[in-house]
Amino acid sequence: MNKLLMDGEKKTLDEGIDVVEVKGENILYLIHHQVETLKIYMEENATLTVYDFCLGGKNRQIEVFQNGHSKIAYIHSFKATKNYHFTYLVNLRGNENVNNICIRGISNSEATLNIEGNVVEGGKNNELNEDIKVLTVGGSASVSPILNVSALETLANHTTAISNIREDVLFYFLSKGIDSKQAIELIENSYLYGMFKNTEFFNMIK
Amino acid sequence: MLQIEHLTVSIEGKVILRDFSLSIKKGEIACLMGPNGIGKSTICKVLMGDPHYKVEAGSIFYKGEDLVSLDVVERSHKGIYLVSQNPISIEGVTNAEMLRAALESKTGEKSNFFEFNKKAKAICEKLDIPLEFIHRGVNEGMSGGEKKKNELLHLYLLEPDLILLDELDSGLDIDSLKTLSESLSQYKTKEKSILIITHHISILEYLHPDTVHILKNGRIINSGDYNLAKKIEADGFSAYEVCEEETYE
Repeated sequence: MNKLLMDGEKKTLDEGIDVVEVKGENILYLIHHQVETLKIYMEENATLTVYDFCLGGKNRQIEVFQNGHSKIAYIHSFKATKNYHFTYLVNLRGNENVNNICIRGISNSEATLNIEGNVVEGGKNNELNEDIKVLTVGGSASVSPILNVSALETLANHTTAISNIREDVLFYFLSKGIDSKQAIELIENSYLYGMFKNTEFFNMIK
Repeated sequence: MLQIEHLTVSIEGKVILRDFSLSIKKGEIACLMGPNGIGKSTICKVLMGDPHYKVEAGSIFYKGEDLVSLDVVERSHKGIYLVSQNPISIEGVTNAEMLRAALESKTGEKSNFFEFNKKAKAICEKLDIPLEFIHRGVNEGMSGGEKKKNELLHLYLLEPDLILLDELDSGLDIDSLKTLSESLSQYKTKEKSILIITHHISILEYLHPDTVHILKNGRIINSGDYNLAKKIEADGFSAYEVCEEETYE
């Protein structure tokens, strides 16, 4: 087990690290192939933003443990040029944890996303938000959300949209004089890079 | 500038426009009025080249060229611009990205980043649009009025000659409508034409039309000047035996 301790840091995850322990306010960057499995342990009052970009990379399994008053934003974009499996497991214990996961992806092959949130009995005022959009371009996608909520006053939201390129969006671009090849490129890039614009991470992955 | 003659248009086998004719001169502001659901928006979509609409008969000539044979992109490059009733939001694509792609496609040249930003900034200042709009997602997180302002930012950068306003006034408060109309008036020269689609007279108080046409059963049944619009305001469409029909907009 290779462990990384984060305490008020901004860091790109090194290859081989499979456990991250988090204190204070932190930003973690994951790029391409570096990670297959990762466990993230959040201390009380810790905050973490994870930017995770995967272009035709390996499957990922991320497991998050929050034990009270912690906040994590997991922002993931992927392009599945071959079969891609992404699993995100959340365990919320104690009170007032927030877990926001936002995924945008393009599937040229087969993308499978398993998102499982467990809010453990005994805590309260926890929040779990899942927002997933996948663009299928010659591929398919399936999203399996599981929410196990056993605690009081929990707010849990899940949104998924899987779609081909929308005709109205394409027409909008064409009507501005953008040819269909460029328009499709803009749409695909919006899924891959849109969430990272105006961040340092955008320049790193571009 | 625009000559539509005996146009018949259908969608999914249902005829929306029948024997529709309309002419718009260079520099003219024309207005097409009628209640909801009567096919007014169809005109805009047909002129822009929406592939869902099939031209069954008739002709459309724009600047002397057969418009029907051109695709959507070609029409845009020739200077036709549509402001939709509800401009769509596109997450993750900024105005700057989209507009630079549009300009590059139109001119065939790589756009200069600094010149583009300088021009976009000047337009924002002129239209009293926050500068941050340039780098915001296309219509993303914007109110109805902001979306339409944003469409005018696109318009000023793309410099079209024929502007199709599909119910610009829809969902706008009176102040926003006045501001947007003033921005359009500033843009309009004797070389540019505007087609206003509306069922309210309020927008016409700011963008004084040269001609007003009333649509019924897919064709124009009455034409006149601004006074015709005022009569409609006073008497209603029913005075012209025009009522809402179950059809596509």
